[in-house]
Amino acid sequence: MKISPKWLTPALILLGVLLASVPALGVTPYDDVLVQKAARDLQQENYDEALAELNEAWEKGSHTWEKAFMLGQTHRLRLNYPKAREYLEEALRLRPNLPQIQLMLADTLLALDKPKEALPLLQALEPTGFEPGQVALLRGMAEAKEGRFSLALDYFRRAEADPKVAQAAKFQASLALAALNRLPEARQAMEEAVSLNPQSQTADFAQRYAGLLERRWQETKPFRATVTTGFDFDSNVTLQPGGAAAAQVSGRGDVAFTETATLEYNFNAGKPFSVLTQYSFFQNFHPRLSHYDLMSQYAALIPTYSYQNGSVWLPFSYNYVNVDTDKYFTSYLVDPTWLHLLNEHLGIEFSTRFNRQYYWFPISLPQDNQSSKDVGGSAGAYYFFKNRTGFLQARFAYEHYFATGSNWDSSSYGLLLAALYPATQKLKFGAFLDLIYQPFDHRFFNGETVDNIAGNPFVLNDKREDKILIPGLQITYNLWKGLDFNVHYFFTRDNSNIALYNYTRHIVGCQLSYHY
Amino acid sequence: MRQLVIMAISLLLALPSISLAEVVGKLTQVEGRVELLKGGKLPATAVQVQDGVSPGDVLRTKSLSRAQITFLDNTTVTISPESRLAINEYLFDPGKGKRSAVLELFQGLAHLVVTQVFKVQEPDFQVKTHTAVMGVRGTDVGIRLNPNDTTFLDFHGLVRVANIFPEVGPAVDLKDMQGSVVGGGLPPTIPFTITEEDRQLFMRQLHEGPQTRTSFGGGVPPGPTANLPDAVSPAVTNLVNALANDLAITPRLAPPMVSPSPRPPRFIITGGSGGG
Repeated sequence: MKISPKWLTPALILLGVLLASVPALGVTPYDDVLVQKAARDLQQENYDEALAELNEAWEKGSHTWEKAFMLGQTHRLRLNYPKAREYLEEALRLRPNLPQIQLMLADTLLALDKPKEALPLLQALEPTGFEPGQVALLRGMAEAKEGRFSLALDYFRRAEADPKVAQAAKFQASLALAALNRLPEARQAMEEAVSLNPQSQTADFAQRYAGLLERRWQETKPFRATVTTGFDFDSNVTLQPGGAAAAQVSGRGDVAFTETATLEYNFNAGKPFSVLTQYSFFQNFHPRLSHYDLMSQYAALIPTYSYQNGSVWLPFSYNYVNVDTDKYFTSYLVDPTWLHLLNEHLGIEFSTRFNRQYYWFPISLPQDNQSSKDVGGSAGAYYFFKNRTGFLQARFAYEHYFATGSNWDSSSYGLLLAALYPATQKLKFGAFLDLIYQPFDHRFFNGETVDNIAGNPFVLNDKREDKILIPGLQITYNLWKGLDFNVHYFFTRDNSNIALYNYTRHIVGCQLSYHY
Repeated sequence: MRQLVIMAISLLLALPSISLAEVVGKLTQVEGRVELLKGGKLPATAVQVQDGVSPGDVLRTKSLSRAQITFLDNTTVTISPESRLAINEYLFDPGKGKRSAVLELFQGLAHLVVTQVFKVQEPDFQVKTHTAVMGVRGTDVGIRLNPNDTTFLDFHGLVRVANIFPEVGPAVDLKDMQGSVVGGGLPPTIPFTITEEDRQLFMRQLHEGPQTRTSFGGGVPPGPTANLPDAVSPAVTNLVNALANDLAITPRLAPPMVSPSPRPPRFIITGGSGGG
């Protein structure tokens, strides 16, 4: 709690009046000299001297409320609030109901985190009309400290009418609004607080808080939307995730236009228990290879529990994919995940995965039916830096596919290494390297016969084995608020012992996305 | 005549004690009204650059005034307007690499830059306030006193903060760009992250002072993040932001197997891999 000129001035006037009336008040001449000297020293910021003089006057002379008040004020100026409280209480005992003492004592008690004791003083001051703005501000602070933020807000609004405390009142109102989770209003109030006196220290703090409020609002707002449009060159257009062999790896390049829209609504956002709902739509267009055009719809329900150092998610998701207007793929996935921060920099993550997926593309051989149940899990670690805006990540993942067709029964062992480096607030560099080893359970069967003559024995292929390398780089630049521009390059090398799946692919492109 | 003799004797008696007061640092910056209480006692005398300070001295600045002390070990302490700092103890033996320093900040703001760090078991440079004690292992720390608490901002190096009464609770170690608030009778808060903006704000306050005479009432909050409601841990929410917004770009030609937003994207395996 601090003293303002508008408070200091009446206090000094009060002291002046007191000093002028010293003889009438029964103060001895000895006291008179010391107290007057102390008053001068206080004005000259000689607090040590003032304190010494007042202490002497207190010890050797009569105990008057004037001396107690001055001692209280001097201790406050020396930041000794417990001692200031003692003397102000004494002053009030010697001179009950003097509003100046009541107000200073209430402020002292609030600074000492004693709102319960400050409240009766403020309640007594309200009907007197003494310094109504100041009293309302302190009353609001007392209520806020007691957790009654709505009531506190009412008082801060009242205090805002007093120009002397308007900025402090706006600042406190913003904090109360934030506590009430009314973040957009809190942000606006903070901006108004800054505009009232941009050069003050309160404005400095308000600016800092406004930034935090903006971030908190972004983190806790229940509704989010992202729209993205992109353009890529794909050196080897390939359907994912597989399918009829002829349709899978085209061996041809094409450009692709991509559109994505994602909507999210988080029930109970910002609370420990919340439920996030997501819907995402994705579409791409290939001017030349239009039978590779893909449309995907995704919906998820994600109950979440967040605690001080981590979160647990239990997502249920559904994915539906059309290729060239034909139904191609559906999946149902449960993917529980636990993320825990061990300390400021280190986080660990564990997840399991239960997936049921169906491929609807026509197939000529039952062995090629890729529909499967798959189970898996992953364990990963993060190292965060730059105030957690950047990180290094390593994650090992294992999955096993129990496929309907024997060609697709397999295990997958993956190691993902990723990094995000924010060079500036707007510019971020991302890189990843995904290494996958995927041995298949059975000999690969494609119906081929010896010399391609019907009735001849089938050709026995090896067990399929894929070694896949996927590095990627991307640079993202924030153009304006939620508008980002991204350029990226992804490379895929699938080294498969089955020629059909042995391929290389480059994707280079850019995209523009807007996040709300 | 008799009076002159008494004065002369008094002066002679006083001289040894004056010379015994070992100078342990010098004022390297003085702006405005800066005064020293020798041995912590009145009267206060105005100081100027290059004046020495000794253990027991109290340095005070008035409004719009600033001061900096450079100690023998090159540690600098800068104090803001309206500050009061005592040098309780200072011993330095560069040959043995030993130091024992205890400062006490009674009001205002202080900025410490400890340039020499010795390998010792316990911090050999301490700062006390009305609510807390801080051990500095180096090197760059800001301290701000409020009526009922002390805010420590560790800009660089390792710092240990604790309540002034050891029985109150465990100490907390602060690393680069971390802060903690120690309230009266309370253990230090868990470290919070501070930013370059916080540092700039502190430096501005250090220059301008806490403005104790100019902002009664609402006052300013003690720490940059202390008063914000904290429904969800900032740690987690920051993490969510970082992971959800930054790397979340799937390869363009794959269906968006969107993972829960807090997770980094699974870069979907194309081509021969079974289930993606």
